[in-house]
Amino acid sequence: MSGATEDQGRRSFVSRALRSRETGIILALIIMVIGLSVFAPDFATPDNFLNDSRNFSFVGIVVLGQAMVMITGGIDLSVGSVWGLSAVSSAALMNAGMGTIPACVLALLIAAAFGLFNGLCVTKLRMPPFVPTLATMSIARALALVITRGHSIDGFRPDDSPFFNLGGGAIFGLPNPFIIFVVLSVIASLVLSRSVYGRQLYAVGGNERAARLTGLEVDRLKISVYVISAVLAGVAGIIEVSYLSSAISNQGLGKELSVIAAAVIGGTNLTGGEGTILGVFIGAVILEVLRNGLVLLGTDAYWQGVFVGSVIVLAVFIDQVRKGFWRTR
Amino acid sequence: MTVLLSVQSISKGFPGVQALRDVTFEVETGTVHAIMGENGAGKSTLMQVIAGALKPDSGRLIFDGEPLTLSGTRDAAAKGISIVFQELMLAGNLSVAENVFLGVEPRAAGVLVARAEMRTRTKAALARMGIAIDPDQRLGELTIAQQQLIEICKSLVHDPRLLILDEPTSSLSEADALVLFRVVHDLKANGVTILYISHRMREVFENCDTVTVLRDGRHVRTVRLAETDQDEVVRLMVGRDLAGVQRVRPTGAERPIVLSVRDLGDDKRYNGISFDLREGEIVGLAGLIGAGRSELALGIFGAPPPRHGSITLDGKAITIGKPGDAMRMGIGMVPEDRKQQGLVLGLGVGTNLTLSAMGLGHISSLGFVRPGDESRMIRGYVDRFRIKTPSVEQLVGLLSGGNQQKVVLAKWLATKPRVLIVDEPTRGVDVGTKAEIYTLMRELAHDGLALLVISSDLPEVLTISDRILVMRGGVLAGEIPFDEASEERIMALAALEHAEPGDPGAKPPMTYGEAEARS
Repeated sequence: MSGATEDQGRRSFVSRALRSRETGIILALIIMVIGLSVFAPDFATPDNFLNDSRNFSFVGIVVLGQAMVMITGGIDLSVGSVWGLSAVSSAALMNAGMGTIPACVLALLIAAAFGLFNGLCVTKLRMPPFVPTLATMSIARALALVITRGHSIDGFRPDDSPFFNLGGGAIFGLPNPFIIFVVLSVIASLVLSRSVYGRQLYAVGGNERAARLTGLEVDRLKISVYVISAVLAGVAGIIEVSYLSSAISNQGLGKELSVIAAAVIGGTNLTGGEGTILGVFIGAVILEVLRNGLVLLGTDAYWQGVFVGSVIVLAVFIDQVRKGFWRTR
Repeated sequence: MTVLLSVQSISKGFPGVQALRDVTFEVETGTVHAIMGENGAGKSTLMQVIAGALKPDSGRLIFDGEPLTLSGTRDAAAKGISIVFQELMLAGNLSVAENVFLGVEPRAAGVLVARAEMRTRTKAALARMGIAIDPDQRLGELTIAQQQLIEICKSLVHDPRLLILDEPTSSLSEADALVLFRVVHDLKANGVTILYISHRMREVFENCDTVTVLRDGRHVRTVRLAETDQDEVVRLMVGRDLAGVQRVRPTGAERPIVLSVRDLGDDKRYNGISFDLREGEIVGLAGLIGAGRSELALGIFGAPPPRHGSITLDGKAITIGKPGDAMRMGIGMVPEDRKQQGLVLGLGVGTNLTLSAMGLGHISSLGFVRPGDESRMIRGYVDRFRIKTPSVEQLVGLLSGGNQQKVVLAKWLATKPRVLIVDEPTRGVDVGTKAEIYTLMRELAHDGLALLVISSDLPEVLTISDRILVMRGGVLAGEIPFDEASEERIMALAALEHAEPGDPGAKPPMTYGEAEARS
């Protein structure tokens, strides 16, 4: 009816905010931060915040790609291993005398190749995404071990090399990884919400058959997200090498689980078609605040997994309730 | 006649909508009782109340003289009321027998499934229905019509006294529906009372005894079909005289040919198809389900492309390798199944509406959407097509079937096509919206769009088409000009397997619903 668009304009900000999927987790984050500030005196200090903001950025950068994969209805289990492989290959290449930029670019190309492989398996060979990404998770990790032979790679650049600034430095007091994460998030957010490409990703994940019959290049779109996911995993790996000034084969080990957890906490739907960058950004932050908070509260480190697991279930449960409440008539 | 079921003052509300208000009527034993009404009239809700799937807010049911309280569909089944839902609820990976006994498997030694018994009982049940299907066959290998019969067979295992069929023919061709009606009549002869929901006026008049009409959740009237006619039922359903959509004679002026298809084939589902489509023309494509009509349409649209033949658009030979190519050249297609193929149900009305046009770059610069142009496009089509939605952000899956169909149509028109193929334009759409969609298609043709309309609904094909192509078994069986078109002509071409042209003795193998009884 003609009133449809006006109705939408009239709808109050509050009701919009309540309907928004991110409101719940933003509230959860605020409650966590307030609670920790009260009970853990060391939590609300600038140093701790800066530290946290660096820590969640690595996982956060990778979550951006994972979210795009999940929006198309896929999953990428290989991100932790690709992260490790590009970390050690960038260090090994620099160690072998290659320039910083060529070494990093080559390491990212290696990561991209893994993403391309995943994407081709999913589209052209019609494999369920779990399978090829599980395989590349194993392959990339093994290659990282082959390169390092189990030793760490250090001293590939002099201590004052600008390369170390990438992960270790800061601008206006903010750690560089955090700034990179924020910039990438803004770009990803614009792409997902405003670009034709982003809209098409949601359509592919929502109904692949309909997307195909609407003339979308479904295969190309799907391949692209696996490549983006792998490249972002590579970026995280390289920044981490720069931060640690050293590379070891088990960098990023098990990070695929944190990444998927952050995406899920952030409201990304594992069956595709739903998810936002704001959501997964906060998901990544929550995960780190939770980890950091538990440490500061003096919780037994062995118990950490129990809390993280509970938060995942709780976040998805709240999301289901919200959907059930607002959507069914 | 005795009353089997008495519905007394049943009301049922959901948050934001009152689905049933004070509905009262009676169902006589051993009749086929039709329930009709537009989409959203409350038919399905009422059936779910009777079958125990929903609890009424107030009112009561009297079944066989006893007040009836139901704790669920299982309880209802035990008391003699079974329901067959519109959507098939079967597991394609299991055998026929396993599906029939799903959840009520006969047991051996308490824990094991008595397979032999299950098989014999299924065979017996199928034989009783007079259908020859192997109980061991995998369900997924059966046709939709056969699956529909298995669904009915499944409910017969409980020996129901009242069987509810919710739009059982919505995805069946007329020939397949005949088999279903035979089963319905057999059941009736065996004393089963049937509540029958349908949108198809003719099949109700041919197969039912009584009709109850609902409108906006209220009971309008229950009347014997012998004492009423189609026009009255339509009037009761919509609550007003529907401006009947009349056939409109094509002007006869020779318009230029837009799309020309020659010898198209994929070696499997369609072969040797040639036809022309002129500017401003609506051409119907009729045939039985499985005749290859949808496959042909998808072929022209490049999903997947045909293996032989040529397509010419505006006199230029074109190659379509994928839907994107067809779209760029100005061919649109509204697919058969809007939920599976046409819409992304989890996204908003607006997002769905602009998806095609966006792919062509109509409302974007450098890959980024221009929000102003987008909302203008959405508002334009929502207004023009009178799409009823609370907001353009409403998830399209929550709209009624008719409004969903309008969104799919709008989505394609937004690409400004020269040719639009529409597969089943009004399946599962209520009477009022149907008329709107016909009018809309006429307007579009008037503006110069060439439309190819595939439909299994004979009155629809007759009403809307300037001329009619008929497919049978993957080939074009013939073309019927406007003045010669009739339901008999269409069915004769569509169903006559071995008709020799000029063989006067050739008659359709079945009487296709006595088309003349209508009109």
